[in-house]
Amino acid sequence: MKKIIAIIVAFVVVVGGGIGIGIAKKSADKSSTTIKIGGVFDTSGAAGAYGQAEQKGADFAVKRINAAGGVKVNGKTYKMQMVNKDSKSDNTESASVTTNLISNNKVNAIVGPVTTSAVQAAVPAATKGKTPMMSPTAGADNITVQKDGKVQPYVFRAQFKNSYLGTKMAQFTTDTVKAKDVVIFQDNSSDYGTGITNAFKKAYKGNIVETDSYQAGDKDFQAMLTKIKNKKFDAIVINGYYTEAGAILKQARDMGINVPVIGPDGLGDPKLAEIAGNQNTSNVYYAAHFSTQAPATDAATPFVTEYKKAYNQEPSQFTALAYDAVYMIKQAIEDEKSTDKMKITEGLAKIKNFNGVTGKMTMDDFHNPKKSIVMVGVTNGKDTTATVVK
Amino acid sequence: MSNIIQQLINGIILGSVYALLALGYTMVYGIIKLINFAHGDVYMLGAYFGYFFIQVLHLNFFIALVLSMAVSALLGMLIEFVAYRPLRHSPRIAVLISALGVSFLLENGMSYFYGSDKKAFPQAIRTIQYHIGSLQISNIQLLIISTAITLMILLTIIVQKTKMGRAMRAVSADQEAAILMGIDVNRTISFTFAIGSALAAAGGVLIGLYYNNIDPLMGMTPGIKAFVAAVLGGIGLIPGAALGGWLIGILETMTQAIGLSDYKDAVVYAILIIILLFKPTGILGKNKREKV
Repeated sequence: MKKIIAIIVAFVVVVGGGIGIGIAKKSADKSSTTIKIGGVFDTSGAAGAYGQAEQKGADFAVKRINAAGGVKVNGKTYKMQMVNKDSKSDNTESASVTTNLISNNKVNAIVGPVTTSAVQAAVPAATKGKTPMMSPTAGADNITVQKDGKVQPYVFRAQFKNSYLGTKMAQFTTDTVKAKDVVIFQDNSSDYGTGITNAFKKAYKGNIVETDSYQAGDKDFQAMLTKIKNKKFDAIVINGYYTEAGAILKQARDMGINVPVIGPDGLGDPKLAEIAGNQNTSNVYYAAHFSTQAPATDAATPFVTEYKKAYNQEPSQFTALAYDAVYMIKQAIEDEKSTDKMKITEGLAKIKNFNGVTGKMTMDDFHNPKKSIVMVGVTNGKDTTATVVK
Repeated sequence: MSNIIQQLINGIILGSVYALLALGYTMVYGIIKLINFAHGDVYMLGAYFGYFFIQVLHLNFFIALVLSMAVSALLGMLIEFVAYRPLRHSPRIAVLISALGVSFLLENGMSYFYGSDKKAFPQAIRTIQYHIGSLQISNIQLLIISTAITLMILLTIIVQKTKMGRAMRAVSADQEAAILMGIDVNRTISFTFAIGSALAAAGGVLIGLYYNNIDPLMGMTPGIKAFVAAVLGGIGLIPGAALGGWLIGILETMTQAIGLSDYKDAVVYAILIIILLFKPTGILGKNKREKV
């Protein structure tokens, strides 16, 4: 009797084990037809608003890719899948989440993190895990460059680098605003303001009458403005963020300085008009990565319509950049005909004339996309015009 | 030339607010020898009260100004009662740390409850520019200067002519002797905090209107600069605070006017170091030997 039970048990174990292996094998097969993209987004904390917008953009891109039949590589069809993790607007968290995605979730590529400092914290993890990492919105010039001046092999970005903004703003100032003499105000408490100013100065062909600096948190700009008031200039360039720019705008307009004001993407926030007052926020132009009013490429319009259908709201520039980041990874996979991490990395570096929703992009030697920017014009506190600067 | 005069006017306006704040520092220091680091945050709260009265209750600007001064005065008394009075007989460093604690509590408390982003202050008074020759001054700038001067005159009258003012001077001269003379020291100190806080709140509301934005950390930099102003004029001396405030305002503006905008804050803090090294009693201070 005991023997019979033993035989039955042995039989069950052997057969069950076989089935188990079969299932395991099947699921392994299934995972190999999935391309996993890790999402490192700050969906909570100080950068939460950006992180959420970007996560939506990446998820939406994956949804559209899968709906259109997935990614085809060597006759095999792969589905894409986002594995999102919250890096909580914390640099340590961003590094550990990145490691986690690479070693536990075995992702093929990473989209994120959101901010410059979070990217800097995650670079060692991506490099060690030899995984390409594409940040949608990190702006600082140095994130894709190693200390010795060589390119960071695994780090890419979808937005243009900050100094590139300065170059394009200079072009816009000359070509569209037609300003020959400008005054520059820069926020010198961060690389952002000074970096853009340096690039602007290099590229601008007109005359720079005066460059003045302020600190983040400053409120009184009377002295600065009094100094320039009686000088001859056709435009003011403010390289900083919306809080101080709003205060400068209000005080300048109150003083009767009504020339056009041009600024980088740091000015692109509804709070600008709130702080300056709607009546003071006219004749203002700020750089944007994407505007629903001025499609940079033919890919933009369907994206906006479909996104509105799906989420019932307009996509922000953060959403658009994250969307492009995912599509660039798809492009790299198709170009290299491989889902291998090294191949994706190579593919990303070679991206050329990529038709993104935020512009036509070509990666330069340092993994920064060269693309068009949009200058949004504000009248009475409302975005009224959008000009694409190619 | 007209540019220099215009810059001088800008400096005086900026300095008026520093002076209002510096008065609070100096009065509190004069009476209990405490640098009240929470003072800048009372200024911030004053601005928020003004925001509340104008934006939510739709009150007239001047009524809102007076009301937020009154509420801040009560708040100042409460801070003194909760955070400083129990430490009256502790070492001075303990009270100083308590003041820092109150400061952080107010800043972070406001960030927690109302968010740390900037709020646009309601424009209760329309800006009108007046031109005098090539000079330019707005009605709001005039309002700031006149309010500051009115409040300073009022303060002088209170300190010099009223019974409470006499009590304040007595406590500041010698606390124990004042007790022996039958002065209620606790009440006098409370009153000092109330007046100082009301002045700070007035500064906060005026600045809110002038710069059109307020945030929970708006009191930090002006607070420190007003402290420098109080030291520069001679800490503990009321005319010194007014003088120091205006000097710091003008100095800051002039530093920018001559093209050193990168260093405007550095210059202010360098003044603090220089004053402390060479004339720690300040411009109006008399050298008084510490009794051992």
